[in-house]
Amino acid sequence: MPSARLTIPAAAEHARTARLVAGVAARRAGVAEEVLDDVRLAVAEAVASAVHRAGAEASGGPRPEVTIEYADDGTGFSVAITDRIPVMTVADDAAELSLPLIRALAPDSDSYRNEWGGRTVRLSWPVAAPA
Amino acid sequence: MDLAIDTSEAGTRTLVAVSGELDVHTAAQLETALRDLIDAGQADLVVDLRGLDFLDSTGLGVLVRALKWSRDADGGLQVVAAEDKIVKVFTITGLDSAMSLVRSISSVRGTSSAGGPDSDVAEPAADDANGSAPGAG
Repeated sequence: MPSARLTIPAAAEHARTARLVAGVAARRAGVAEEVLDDVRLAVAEAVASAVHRAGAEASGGPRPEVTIEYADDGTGFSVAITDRIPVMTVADDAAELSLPLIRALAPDSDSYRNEWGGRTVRLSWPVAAPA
Repeated sequence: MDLAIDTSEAGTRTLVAVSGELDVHTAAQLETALRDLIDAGQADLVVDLRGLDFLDSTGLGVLVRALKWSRDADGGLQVVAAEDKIVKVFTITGLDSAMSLVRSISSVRGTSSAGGPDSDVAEPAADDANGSAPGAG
């Protein structure tokens, strides 16, 4: 199944869209119903990180964005949340709560500074094998 | 979905019933409401999250800060949450015990920080996730 890509402003009022789309995409990919809340929360946490950093970095430049890519390869559902917003060198309170949540909610997760100096968070969940 | 905040008195404590979604967009609204209550001298708080459909770490951070403010004001803050997806946010982060999290409003007991008599917090009349926010905030 082809990937889907959603780009939203890194602004608080748009974070809800990203997690709702993640829930719909995960359900269609076959992620178990009882796991969908985990998907939505994990994606929300990753997007919120971008929103917080965009707020701290507020300038007169172009509006920062965050891109969420959803992919289903038949055996797993994955989400990549990517931004180009500078990563803070000092962890703030939000990050201290967010990272443990992401790690607990997604069986596979990875978070790293990307080539643009922002952050990429990759999350994945298994899907049920077709009958 | 927006956030609705309904405040009521419960003995010596103030009950803050929150419904809707508490996330990076709505968290500031709750933070202002809790800060205003504590500044007004209502520092003994019970925050009822049973009407929440979503909670993330931004919302959790507001509760953590409000807990600190309430204690600084010689009060306290207790959380009521029942739905698994909401309780999970507290247990994963280890904040369930710090927040004295209970699953039912009837479990909220005890004296106020000022040493008043034991008082039960009255059960709200009905869950109303779409109620307006006539209270503080």
